[in-house]
Amino acid sequence: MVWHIFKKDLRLMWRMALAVALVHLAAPAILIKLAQLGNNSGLGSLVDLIQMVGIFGTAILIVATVQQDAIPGMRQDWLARPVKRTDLLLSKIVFVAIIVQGPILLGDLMECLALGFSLQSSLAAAVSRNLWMLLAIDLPLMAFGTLTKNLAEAVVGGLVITVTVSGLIATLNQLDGGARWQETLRTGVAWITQSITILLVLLVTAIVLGFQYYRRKTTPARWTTGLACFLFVASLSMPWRPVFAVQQRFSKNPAAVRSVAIAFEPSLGKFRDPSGMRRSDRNENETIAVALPLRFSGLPANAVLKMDHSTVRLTGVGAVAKDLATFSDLEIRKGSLSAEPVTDYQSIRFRSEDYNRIKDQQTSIEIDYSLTLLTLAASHGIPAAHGEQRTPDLGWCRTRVNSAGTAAQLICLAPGQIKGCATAFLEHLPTAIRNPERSNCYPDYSRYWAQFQLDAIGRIGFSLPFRDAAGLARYPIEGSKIGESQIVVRIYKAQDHFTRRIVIPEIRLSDWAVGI
Amino acid sequence: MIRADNLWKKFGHHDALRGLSFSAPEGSAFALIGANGAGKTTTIKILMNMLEPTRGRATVLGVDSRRISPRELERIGYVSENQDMPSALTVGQYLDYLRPFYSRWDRALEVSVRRQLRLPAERRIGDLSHGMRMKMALACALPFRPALLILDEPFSGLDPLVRDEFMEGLLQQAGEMTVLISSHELSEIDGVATHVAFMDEGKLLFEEAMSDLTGRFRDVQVTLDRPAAAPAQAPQDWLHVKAIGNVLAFVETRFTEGDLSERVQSIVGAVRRIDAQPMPLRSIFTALARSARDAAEVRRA
Repeated sequence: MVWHIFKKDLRLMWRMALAVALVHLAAPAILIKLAQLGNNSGLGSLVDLIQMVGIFGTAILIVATVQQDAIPGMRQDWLARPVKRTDLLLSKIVFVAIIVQGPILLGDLMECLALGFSLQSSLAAAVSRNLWMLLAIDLPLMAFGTLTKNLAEAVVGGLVITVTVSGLIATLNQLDGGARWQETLRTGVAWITQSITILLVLLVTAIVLGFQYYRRKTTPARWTTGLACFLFVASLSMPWRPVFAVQQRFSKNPAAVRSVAIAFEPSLGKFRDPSGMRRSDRNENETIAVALPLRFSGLPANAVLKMDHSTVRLTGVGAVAKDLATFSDLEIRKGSLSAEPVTDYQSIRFRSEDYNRIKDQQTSIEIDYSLTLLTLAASHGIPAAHGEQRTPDLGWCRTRVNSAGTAAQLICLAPGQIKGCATAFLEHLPTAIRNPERSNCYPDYSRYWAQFQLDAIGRIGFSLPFRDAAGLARYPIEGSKIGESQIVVRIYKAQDHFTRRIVIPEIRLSDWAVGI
Repeated sequence: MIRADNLWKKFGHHDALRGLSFSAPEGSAFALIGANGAGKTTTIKILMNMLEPTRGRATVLGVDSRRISPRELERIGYVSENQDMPSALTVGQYLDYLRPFYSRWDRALEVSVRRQLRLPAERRIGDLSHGMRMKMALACALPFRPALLILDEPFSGLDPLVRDEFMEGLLQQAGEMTVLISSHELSEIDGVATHVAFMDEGKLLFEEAMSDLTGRFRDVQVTLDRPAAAPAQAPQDWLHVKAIGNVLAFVETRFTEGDLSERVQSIVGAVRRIDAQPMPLRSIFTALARSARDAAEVRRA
């Protein structure tokens, strides 16, 4: 009877389903055009709008389909009919998988194929994204739909959930003075937190669907959903250590970092801005930066050392002051030429009042690093102007000079999600001169599709300046050499995830403060 | 066929049912009568497992109402005054949808019932009037020849013509099926019900075969040679005893042919004439309802 109920729902919902499908098919059609045209802010905004409409349309379609045989209430005709609950549940899942998700899958596939990617890679990307959407979005929406009798109830319920969850997150952000309670998010290990969150959502979905389709217990199901909202927010605050420990278990090459060491290197002296300009590093929030010179040894050639997370402890100024400081990101790159250790400055920001209180005291600093070593996986050279190349790891890449004539731009599109770290620089082919390297390193260490993406295409881009319109900076490769230059893109893949601790004994912060 | 044992149902602080017990025998047309709010619909929702009782137990077709499965529902027809059917489907489309769920669905009977009830197959359910929707619900409940047909206020809001069409459709197909019908309108079940149960404020006041009920109630008028007075100790079987001139009137609830005269004379003495008339159903219920209310007021006082 699954198909029989499915066909009834289709007969009832086809108009809405068709409208939502057209929206979902319109977005990739415009994205294909956009990819061919290059930048077009008008079309970009239109796609954003269509995708938003598509998301809302999907939510309404799923909820309305479930409500065709609503669970709460006592007036529904199906309650008096010999309809097997399992058939009813499965028919709704089949409807969502085929009628709701089908057009999205088709749109994804169409987009990937139209951009010239192989059927296999297109199918893999489209299926991965759609499976993720089915599990993380559609089924929970179905469960939510079973808690409501009609769309008005669903809209009110949706608003209540949205306001509750957003309110909780905003409150926690306020209490925390930022979003440090979500310390695993916006890092490469976010996929673990997100996977746990999705598992939690799926568990609650299964409970709610079970309650509703097999017991018709709307009140306990609603309470379960309410509790799940709190658990959802709590799951975002996964503590760093256990999550990173899980990530370490997935290390590809645990031996790669055995010789990597980090040490305080006072002989480098106080931080000087490479531009030679002296600046007071006070930002709007009245923080003061202290830059500590560090030496990184034992790094393999062609590697990037990415700091995923760090905690700093200051001792010797009374009690242990754990949350006194905040860190800036650290990303160390080592090329193939030098065997020497790499040095860099670790910037630590202090609130002005904290800094002024302890700046002249002898202080010991302990830093716990969680790091990832990435090594070069591929390198590609593409002509800096009007270049085009297809590569297995970056997909379809194109270059152009921006309309102001100040920077070479590279955009790469690939089916699926682009993982790993990428750097790019301009290289003059006849002389091998290079402009400074730029990094685009927001890695995702997951091995599967683990987070929301608006379409099935991953994108990565660089803007590499070669001329300063204000005339203040000069670049080795300037506009006249662009025709003979290429953009070199390097892809780094994670090898190992590891921790290091450095202890810097007895320093005075004022000796290392930036610009003071 | 249907049995309710000490059913209780609470909605918040309100007791919709308060220890309701009754049983409807197989093959009967069992009428559940009571004013609005008496608990009839709640009882039926419990029997259909749309609601769970707070306490007590009901069995339908020998199965606990909480465990009614599609196997039992395939043998139960259900018609309710507030039954939500998919309004965007046409009459024909909805019958097409329901047909495969019932292994005993009789297509010829479906056509016959639909024709008899004059239901246009191509009309959208959402466009049907209330009366037509009730007929539609009946047309969806009969073609699988249910063993049990449950009708919850089926005549509510129907005009006489539609009501007659509905009843004709029902009676022609009733056959051996057991029918449970709830109503607050006595005239609707008169001539249809074989058994009757009267509910008031979530409780059952009585449950009886219709023939027994109509047989034991009589509107009695006793004419005396002297001015009549209500006896100080009237039997409990007499309801609404009143004296008007030489006439003593009451409702006899334990009437048996032959002994009325003797019983009356033993209480009021010599009489000139005793006139005992059978009572219409409406008068029986009015008498019972008034008596129940009076008793409740006495208890409260």
